[in-house]
Amino acid sequence: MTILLGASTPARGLTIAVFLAVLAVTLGVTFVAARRIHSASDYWSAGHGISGAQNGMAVAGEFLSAAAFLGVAGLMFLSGFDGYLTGIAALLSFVPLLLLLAERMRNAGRYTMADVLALRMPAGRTRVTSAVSTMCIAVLYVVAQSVAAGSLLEALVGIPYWAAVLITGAAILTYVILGGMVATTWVQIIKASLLLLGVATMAIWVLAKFGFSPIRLLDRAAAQSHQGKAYGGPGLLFPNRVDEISTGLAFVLGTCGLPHIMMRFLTVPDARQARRSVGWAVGLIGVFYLFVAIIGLGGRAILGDAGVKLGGKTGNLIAPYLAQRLGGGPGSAGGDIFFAVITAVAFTTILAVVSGVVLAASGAAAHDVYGSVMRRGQASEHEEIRAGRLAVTVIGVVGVVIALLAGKTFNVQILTGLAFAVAASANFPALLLSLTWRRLTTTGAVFGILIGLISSIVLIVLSPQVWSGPDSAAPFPLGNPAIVTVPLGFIACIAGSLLFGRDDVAEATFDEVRVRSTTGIGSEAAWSQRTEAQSPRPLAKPASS
Amino acid sequence: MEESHDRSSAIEDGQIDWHAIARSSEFARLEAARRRVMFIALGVFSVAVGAFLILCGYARPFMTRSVDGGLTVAYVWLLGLTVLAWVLVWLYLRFAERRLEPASAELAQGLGVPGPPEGER
Repeated sequence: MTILLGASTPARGLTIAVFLAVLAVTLGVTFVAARRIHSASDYWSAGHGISGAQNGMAVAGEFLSAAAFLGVAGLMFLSGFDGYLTGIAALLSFVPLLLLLAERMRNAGRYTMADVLALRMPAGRTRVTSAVSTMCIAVLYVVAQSVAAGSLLEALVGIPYWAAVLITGAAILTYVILGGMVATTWVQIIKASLLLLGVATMAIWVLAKFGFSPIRLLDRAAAQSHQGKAYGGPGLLFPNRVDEISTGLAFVLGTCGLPHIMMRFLTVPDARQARRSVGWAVGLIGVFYLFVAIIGLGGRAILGDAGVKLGGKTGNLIAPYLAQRLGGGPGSAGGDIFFAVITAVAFTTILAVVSGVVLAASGAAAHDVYGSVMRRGQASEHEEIRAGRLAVTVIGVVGVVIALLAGKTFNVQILTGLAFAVAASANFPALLLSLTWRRLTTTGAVFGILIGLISSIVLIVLSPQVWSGPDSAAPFPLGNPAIVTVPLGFIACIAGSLLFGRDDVAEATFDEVRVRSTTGIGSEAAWSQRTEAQSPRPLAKPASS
Repeated sequence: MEESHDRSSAIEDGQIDWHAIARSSEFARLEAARRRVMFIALGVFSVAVGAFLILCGYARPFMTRSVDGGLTVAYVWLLGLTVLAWVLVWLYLRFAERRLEPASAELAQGLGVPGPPEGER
């Protein structure tokens, strides 16, 4: 507390006060929610009782991370159009998600992504590989968000980076351990509303300064950027042409493999609500990115060169400083208040998103690894929840430690792009093929997940984003590996299935998965029989019966 | 929770013959209708997004061309993609609720098993 009280300017005191208020409200929700948790289904999927509109808000909340707000605004500030591209590409990902996976996930799944795979490939190794990839993605995501939390608090509130990351970690653990999916959902809804309100206010304010003419805003921003016309087109952020396409691809396909987003479709009661969640989410997120684009351009047009220093090398901090300028500048009451509110909203965003990701990863650890494989389905629901809470703690601690070590040299949207690339390469191919391809085998799925996971992580480490030393020295030229690793994931699934013999169980259950995922007949049902991972028996009888 | 227990037991007792459903003509029609809509929507989407990404990589002068002041072809296209996403999602929701759900419910009723929930929401 002495660190907090030691903060000097009124803006800092105010920021802390607003932040604590938000924290108090969300923790209150968590305690109320905690009393309603009686079963594993309550903990991981809110008893499948969330409505489509609520879930849509929560999906938007899950999706609109600090990366989407601070990161995209910062990237637009720095390099104009390319920043907007990363945002909209992520929005577009909801179209393939809806058409290929959302309702089918709801019809076939239970708590986690691996449940869907396990319908056809009940062997423990499917669940374990899927859980491993879920946890790798979660850690990347947690690191991205914690880096954002750390740099925000350090720069804007005056708390050291390490303390900021620790405070964030503690709050997240409280939400997730106590409140599970119910609390996480409500925290997402509260946060999504605050965030939308915040960006809408800022964007309208910016536009008002330019006579509500987006063209004048664009012109002014281009003039202030000293890049001339190039600021309005592709290429500034991604000089490498293939990298531009690859990053776009990662965002367009990534959502289809993000465990915390997929898990959201299991909180609703049926396929209709799953589809409606996508509808709500796409509407809200599309409007959100319009506002963020205006904020990013406004940052360039209004703050100009001064913004380069304030926003930092990565641009992550441009939005709060723009809010301060809009409110009347540093030292003015309006400036301080607006700055405090926007900063607090950004904090809440980080807390909420990390909670969702950690919850998804804990589901994978407790339900897929502990419950289904280690205990072979013999664990009671309470034991699974207890294992889940332990997993939350472990994942939270690992994420925080890596965030402390990883430093603050990344734009958070770029970091998130890497998580999307891993998700699109490791999870998406196996998931899609398990719902659509009869010949997919357990070996093929495991092979595909592992190859997608390993290749994307290795290429990220070898890429100019992470490789130390000058960018040109990096062994792999692309900042984002998706264009190579997504096809690789598919090829590995297919090759693994064709080369290593047929899988009778997977083929026998294909018709069941096909019928269930398309029609919703028997959704939720087969589960009582299917959780015994090691003793697979085809549920479907031969047609002759 | 009560309801889902009922559903489970109905299915377990009945041992639904999934292969027979999968081979039935009602299911074939339903699946074909869904696939047709899905492929059309995905086709439109892939062409619009694919062309956009390729042009962003390889036709930068074209994408940077001005439509009106600082508003470039790239911005207009990207805004267009936002609208396309909204329209495709909306059309698919309509299709699913008007065509897929009644067909699924009918299929389930024919089998005497609980199907997807009836829509009164």
